[in-house]
Amino acid sequence: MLVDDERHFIDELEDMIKEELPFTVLGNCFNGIAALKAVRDLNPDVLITDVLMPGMSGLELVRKIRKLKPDLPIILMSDNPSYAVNGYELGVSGFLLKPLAKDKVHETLNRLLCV
Amino acid sequence: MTGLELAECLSAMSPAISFIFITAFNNYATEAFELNAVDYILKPIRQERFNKAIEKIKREIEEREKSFVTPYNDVSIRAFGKMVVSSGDHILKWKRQKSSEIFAFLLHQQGTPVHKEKLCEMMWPEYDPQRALTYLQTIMYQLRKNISEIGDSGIAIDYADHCYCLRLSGVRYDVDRFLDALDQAYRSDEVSADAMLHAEQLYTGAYFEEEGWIWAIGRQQNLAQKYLKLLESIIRLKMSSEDKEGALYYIQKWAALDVYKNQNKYLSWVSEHIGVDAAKKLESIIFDDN
Repeated sequence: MLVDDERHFIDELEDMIKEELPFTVLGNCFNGIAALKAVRDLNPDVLITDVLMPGMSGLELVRKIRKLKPDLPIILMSDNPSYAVNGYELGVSGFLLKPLAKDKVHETLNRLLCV
Repeated sequence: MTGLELAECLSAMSPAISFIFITAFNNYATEAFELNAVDYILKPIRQERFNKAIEKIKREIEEREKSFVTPYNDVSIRAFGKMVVSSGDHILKWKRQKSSEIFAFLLHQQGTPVHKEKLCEMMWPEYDPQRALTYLQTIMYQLRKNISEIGDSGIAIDYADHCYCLRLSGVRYDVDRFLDALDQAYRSDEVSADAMLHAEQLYTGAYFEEEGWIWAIGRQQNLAQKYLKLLESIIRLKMSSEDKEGALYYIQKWAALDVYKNQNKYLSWVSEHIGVDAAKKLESIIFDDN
């Protein structure tokens, strides 16, 4: 499941995933509140979320999801590398730096498949 | 050498190793993610935060151990029928179809190194070479990780001079065992019935039969020919020792292989020695697919 307030990032990411990886994109959300609901309804295997979004930030979203599903693998993405530290604090499984590089996306998702 | 470089070196040496980075800077965390570090702790270190990291690493190790119940020994590879790599009861699950094919192809080379470009061309002929190479590296990374799941398995993928090479030591591989048994069966002047039956049992299907890989077809046919010859030897042996049930059993196996040689001989033998009904049944097996 993908979460980003900027539509073009979601489209780009979805294309990268569809092209090669054995994942199906269950749904896309454009803000944290919708994402929280969707996680409950769709029960995804992996969630990829942007950090800076209006309303609820990606970090807040991760904190809320942790209470709901402590083991759901989450990948953060941002154009600001300093959020990677927050990623570790929150126990996320991966961090993708924007602009997204296809091989990094594949590598990160592949790694999740391996664990 | 920085800690990041150290981690990179160490994980190349031993993929199973886990890391925690400790630093006063927050700007290396993206690299830490790339190296798959378990945690990244900022200095000054708080006890509470450090304990959390230790918990995390404990959990990771536990989970890894869970995934191989029977460790390290009795590793076997099956290539007849469907490819299966297992250690005791634990069967290796391929994360992707391509990784099983690359593994099988390296196995198929019987220890001969394969150039990375050749692998890329074979797996992704339609991709541009740079992109294919990235995929290959990802898959090799995965594959090694995959293999390390079953511990020190005796299976290793070496990389040198741009070539990948699969090395087996102390691994039971059914194709090798089949060929060894065949060797033994026909080596002595007196044909060894035990070795023949042993070889027959090892052939559980055509070479990579269920996988449909084009590069395997040559050896698939070659091994099938050997098996056919073996079956005929066994049938002759059973017929000459008047073991009717035994002969019928192997004649049926032979018939299922869809060959049109010796069929009349076998049919008339069955109808003479076992009965007309059995011969009719056999006939229907032979001509079934038409």
